[in-house]
Amino acid sequence: MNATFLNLSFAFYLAALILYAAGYMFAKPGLRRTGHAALAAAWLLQTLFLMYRWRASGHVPLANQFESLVSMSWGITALAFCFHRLAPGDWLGPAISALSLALLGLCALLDSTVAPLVPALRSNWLLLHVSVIMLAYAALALSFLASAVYLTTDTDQALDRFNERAMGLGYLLLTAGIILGAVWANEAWGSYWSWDPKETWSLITWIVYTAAIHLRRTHRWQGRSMAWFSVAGFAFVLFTYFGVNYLMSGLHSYAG
Amino acid sequence: MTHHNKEGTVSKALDFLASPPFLYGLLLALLLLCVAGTLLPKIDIYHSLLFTALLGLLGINLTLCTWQRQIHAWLYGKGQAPRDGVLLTRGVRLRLDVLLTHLAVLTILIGGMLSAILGLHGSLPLSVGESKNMTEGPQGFRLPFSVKLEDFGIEYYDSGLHSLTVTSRREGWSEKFDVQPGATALLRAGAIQIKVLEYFPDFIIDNQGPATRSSAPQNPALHLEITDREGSEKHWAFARFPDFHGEAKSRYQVSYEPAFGKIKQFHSQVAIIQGGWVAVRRAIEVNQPLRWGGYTLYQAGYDPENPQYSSLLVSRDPGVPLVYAGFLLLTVGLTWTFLRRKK
Repeated sequence: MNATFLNLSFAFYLAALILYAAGYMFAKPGLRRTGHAALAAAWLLQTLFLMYRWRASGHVPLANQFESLVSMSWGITALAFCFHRLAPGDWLGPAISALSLALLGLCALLDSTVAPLVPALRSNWLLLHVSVIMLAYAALALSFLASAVYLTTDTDQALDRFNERAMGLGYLLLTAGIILGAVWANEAWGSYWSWDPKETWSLITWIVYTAAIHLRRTHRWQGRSMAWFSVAGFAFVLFTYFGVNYLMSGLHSYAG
Repeated sequence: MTHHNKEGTVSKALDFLASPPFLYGLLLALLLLCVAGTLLPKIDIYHSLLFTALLGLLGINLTLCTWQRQIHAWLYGKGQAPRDGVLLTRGVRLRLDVLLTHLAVLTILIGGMLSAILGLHGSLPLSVGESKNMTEGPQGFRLPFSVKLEDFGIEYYDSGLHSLTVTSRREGWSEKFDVQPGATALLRAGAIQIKVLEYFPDFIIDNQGPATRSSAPQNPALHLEITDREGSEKHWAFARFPDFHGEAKSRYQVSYEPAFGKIKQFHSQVAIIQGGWVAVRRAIEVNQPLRWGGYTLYQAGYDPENPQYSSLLVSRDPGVPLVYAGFLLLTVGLTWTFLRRKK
């Protein structure tokens, strides 16, 4: 039953993408609206999956790469619903559907076994730290999507502002997530910073976005330059999230 | 060089040190060193002179920038217009959110420096019954109290697997097999049935009779029913009490070994001894350190071959309060910046 929710969610994301594509090809706004409904249904099914898994495993579904990836994908769609009024044009729905399909497809390659928590993860800090980091990645993914659209098709100023808000929120959450992780590390490992590869790459990602936001605020960098910065910043996010788990070992190795 | 020229050079140098381009250069250099540090883990780049110097320069840049472009510009108005076309100082308005954010990073840097200079970390390997006040490791230091390990235990997850060995007292045969609660196992070509009536992960006897204290397999027990041609007899099997074989007249002897699952938690029961007296007694677990006398004791290690051994980590870090204050300021500053409405 549990996996069925996720499979159905995948099917609805696919349906949403097809509906958006058909709406665009045949210039039918009704199809686009049905696409929104399919997207909402996909997100609700994903919510059910996560709730069911939380209940069945007895811990928040953020304890391994599979669980955190489903949660991050859930967060991207949730944030897209929150910010859709700020997004100009019709790109958000199709972009979210395509990205969610890619992320859930990737989930199919990961180990989805419900495993008991190792002693280090048996803490309420797991919920606080990982959920905030996943929401940060979700907001930065929205910034990346807006930038990709800006660079390829539409150089709308409203899109640049959307990018600014998404990146700003992502940066704030990333900062809060790193801080929560540092406080947790001080409770569990005896040091708030150990230069573990995950910590270091989070700091690297934070430095990239610090530079981007500083350049925008003090030097009025915007438009294409900021969009390129967002694309590059998201590459650092991806490496911190995926690359470190597979290429480097450290205190965060159970995240793989 | 005249006095006037000297002042001009110093002023130019200070302007450069306070400038955003210098900040971007520093951030890029720190970023590259961080990347190198993760790719070359054998080289301790993060504690190198170069890395420390860059962090120091970052602190100088933040201090000068905060002073020149925010506080001084606010106090004395215009006339401090930067030369590189930066738009931040447009007069006398003080951006408290930006000020807080800059001060936050400075506070974290100072706290980190205090941690690096004054922080103490040492390990305290102990066997049950042993007490120590001298830590081991590169910084090995003496504690103003002794730590006695009174008990150490590992809590496991329930694997759901139970192994039984049944021995016939009359015939002398013995068979080992796996069972599951609620299921029936057949022995001797079906002539003997063994049914697991109930499983108690953490067996106790309360007012109602046999019960379980928790779901953790702390004191696993099985209640069994063995049926053969002569009838049925009930047995209790305790994993932690293998010598309990029930009534002597029973036809079978049962021993029980649960297969433990993954490790759930470590418990080091310690006593802090100060001035010859026990000042406090508490269990230290992962995520549940013990704080005493300015020191924090963490559960750090165990020996799979020696159930009587536990390793604690002891730390004393005077930088933590400043770092946490910086974290708080940073969160407030950035949230404020994010929520500010753009004019």
